Amino acid sequence: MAYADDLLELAQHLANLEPTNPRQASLRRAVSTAYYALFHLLISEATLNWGRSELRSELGRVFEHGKMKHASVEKRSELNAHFGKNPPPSPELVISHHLHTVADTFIQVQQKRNDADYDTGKEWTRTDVLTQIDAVSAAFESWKAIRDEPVAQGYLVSLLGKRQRSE
Amino acid sequence: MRDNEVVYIAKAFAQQAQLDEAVNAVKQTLGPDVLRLRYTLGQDWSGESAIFFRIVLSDRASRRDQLLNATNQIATAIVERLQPLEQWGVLPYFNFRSQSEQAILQEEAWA
Repeated sequence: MAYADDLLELAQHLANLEPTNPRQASLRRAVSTAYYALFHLLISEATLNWGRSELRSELGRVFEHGKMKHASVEKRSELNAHFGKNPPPSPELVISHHLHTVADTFIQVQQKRNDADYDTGKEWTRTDVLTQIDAVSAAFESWKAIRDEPVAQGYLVSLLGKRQRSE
Repeated sequence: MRDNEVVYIAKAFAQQAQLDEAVNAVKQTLGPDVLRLRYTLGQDWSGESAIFFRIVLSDRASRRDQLLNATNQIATAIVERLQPLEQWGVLPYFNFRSQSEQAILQEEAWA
């Protein structure tokens, strides 16, 4: 996770680069970097399951932003439906909340990254940027809490996209 | 060539007056730290129907030690009470700024 952790640290640094009157460039790069921190965290965790370490980088390039978003939207919807049934407190429920945090944060910050990189008309504020960075930090913590759980590993596989197999 | 494909329009776009009412009703439940709640309908980066909320927070809730908790609570409350995707067919996205920041920027879209 070293690269992902470094990116998150860099995002925080960029967001606080100018104590007053932050430059839009700094804020935009902070948002984009925070997204890539989470993006690379999830990919590195997924590819860790590949036994041949020399091929993990290549495998990581198979992941696509759109498919990862779609999988995260599906997971978040599934978990929201589950929470709506008011399930009793349990270790499984705690895991579900952590996974919801990861999936939801991925969706939110991915859109922010797109805005930061391409929507030059948008005026960023430090509050909005720190909201994203804090959310990514929380997603990192949630992921660390559940990374070995089957449901978390299943989520990683889903990030590759739906199965498409023709006869 | 004829195209008979059914075009799906999210309920949020088709029934904007009702959506306005629903958002205003949710706003009333969010507490004093939510000073403004505005929204725009559109598409997200991948072309999916989306609702983009713009929320002005009190300076108290915008403090660094309060920010994550405050924004999580607000976003969760809006999602639970409005159910943007399940009831209105749009993915929710949240944008926050502080009262002080809005006072400086004076953006009409956030006022």
